[in-house]
Amino acid sequence: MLCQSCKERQATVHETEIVAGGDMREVHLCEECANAQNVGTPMGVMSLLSGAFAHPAEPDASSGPGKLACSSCQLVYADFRQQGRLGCPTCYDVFADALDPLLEKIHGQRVHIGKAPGRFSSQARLSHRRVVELRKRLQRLIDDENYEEAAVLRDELHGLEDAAREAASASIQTPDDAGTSEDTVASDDLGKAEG
Amino acid sequence: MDTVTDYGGDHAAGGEWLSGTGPEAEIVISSRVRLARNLAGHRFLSRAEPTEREDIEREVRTALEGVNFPDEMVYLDLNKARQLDADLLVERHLISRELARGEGPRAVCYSSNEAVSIMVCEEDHLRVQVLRSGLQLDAAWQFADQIDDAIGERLEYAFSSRYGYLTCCPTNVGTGIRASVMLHLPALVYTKHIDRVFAAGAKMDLAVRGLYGEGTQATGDFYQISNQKALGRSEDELLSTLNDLVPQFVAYERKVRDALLKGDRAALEDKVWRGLALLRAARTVSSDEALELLSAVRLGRNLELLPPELTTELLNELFMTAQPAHLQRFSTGEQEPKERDIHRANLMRKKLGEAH
Repeated sequence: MLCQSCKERQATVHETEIVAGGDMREVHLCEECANAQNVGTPMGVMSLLSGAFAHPAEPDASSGPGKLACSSCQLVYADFRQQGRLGCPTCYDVFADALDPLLEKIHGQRVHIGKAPGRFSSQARLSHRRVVELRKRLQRLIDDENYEEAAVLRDELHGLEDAAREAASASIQTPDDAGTSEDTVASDDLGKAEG
Repeated sequence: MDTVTDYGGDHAAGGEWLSGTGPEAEIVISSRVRLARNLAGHRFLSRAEPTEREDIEREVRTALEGVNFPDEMVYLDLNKARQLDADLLVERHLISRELARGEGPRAVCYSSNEAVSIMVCEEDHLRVQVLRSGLQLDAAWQFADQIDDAIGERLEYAFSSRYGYLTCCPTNVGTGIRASVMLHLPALVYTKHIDRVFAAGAKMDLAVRGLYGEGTQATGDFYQISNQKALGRSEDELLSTLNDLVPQFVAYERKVRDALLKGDRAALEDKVWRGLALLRAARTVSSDEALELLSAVRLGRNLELLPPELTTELLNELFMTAQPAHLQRFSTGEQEPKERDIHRANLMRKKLGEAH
């Protein structure tokens, strides 16, 4: 089929946008028009977010946070909003305040629970192991058709996951702390990357 | 582990994940779990200079060489490979189109049975992918988890306790996981009930896309369902949403198939037999048409309306070998679309028992 935009070239980028309410909008563009309109790229996602969900608490690209630059890779926040991509791990610290509402929109959450790398001994890793154990036990109960106990265990699991989320949030003190905590792995080593 | 510059596989039929042997494999073709990871101490690829990209690729390759994988692995340098081989890997679901069409140091490390593939320097430094036949998300995640641990022993990942695994694009941050299943839903498409799948998916924060990312009326009646969120839920939680919803979609498709059989068997038989007849007789068949007709034949076979020699294995093989890069790599050599359409038709007639 032909590109909906130029009507000359073949459409090779096909996107279905599901907008609020479950409605769908189909977009069929050729590669050139897709790139020009930033469809099918992270930029497309970012413009959807900034366009569709204007939020008073969210920093505007033209105000303060927009000019904030990463101390490590020098990416400017406003450019991140344009491209939809961060430049390095330190960006997550430097832009934390601005990122939080954005992550809330994308994921409905702003802190990580779940797996952590092997060398990382943390709340996240312990929670993950416990969750895995409980899920296995839950599956066994379901297989044995022991639904009463399974329901109790499922509630415990939900409680654990909620607690992990709260603990993760609580452990984030102030933006300063988050930036300098030893939890962020090797983000100060980026000096050598600039060589 | 060998480093190579071309696709050396000699079996045209797809990897093990296309064997049709997993649970519910008639409708759930495959399950996939992908993990996105970046190295600590390096910029993300969106900002890295060429020399840093080379360093990253080298570090990752060295680490992968040291991992004791259970299967034989191959490291394919995509910067040196032919475009045709890269496109072939896209068709085999081993790499993304972005990686195939990208530039600069990049590679894919995959197992000989093609169940595991690790993209190097795509959007993130590493993307580990595990594929399984049928509905096997848990098994795919367990394996991906192990591989991730093994690689993590040799590399320091960029990770923060607040945000989890740090990724180039914030849509992936946290678990870095994208779990998806590929479903074949011809009855739901035929009866125009497919929009309910989209609606149910949207309500549960799942993305529903066609085979090539398109919307309703997807090519070949295939749909990919995947999680859209990656942060703030454990990997198990994210998987359980899919594990809860997918069986419901499968049941729905089965219910509609039964209703069609009871309600209008003649029309259904006609549809699937016409599909087979065309493939057995046509002289040119486009990619899209092949997928459309194979979808009808697959449905016909699932419902036992078509002869048993049309096995799932055969249909899956044709699904793979009818694709453009496959045709050129395994039968015809580089060709223009019109010539490929003729060869595709030849392939179909040969494999499906030519009409006389």
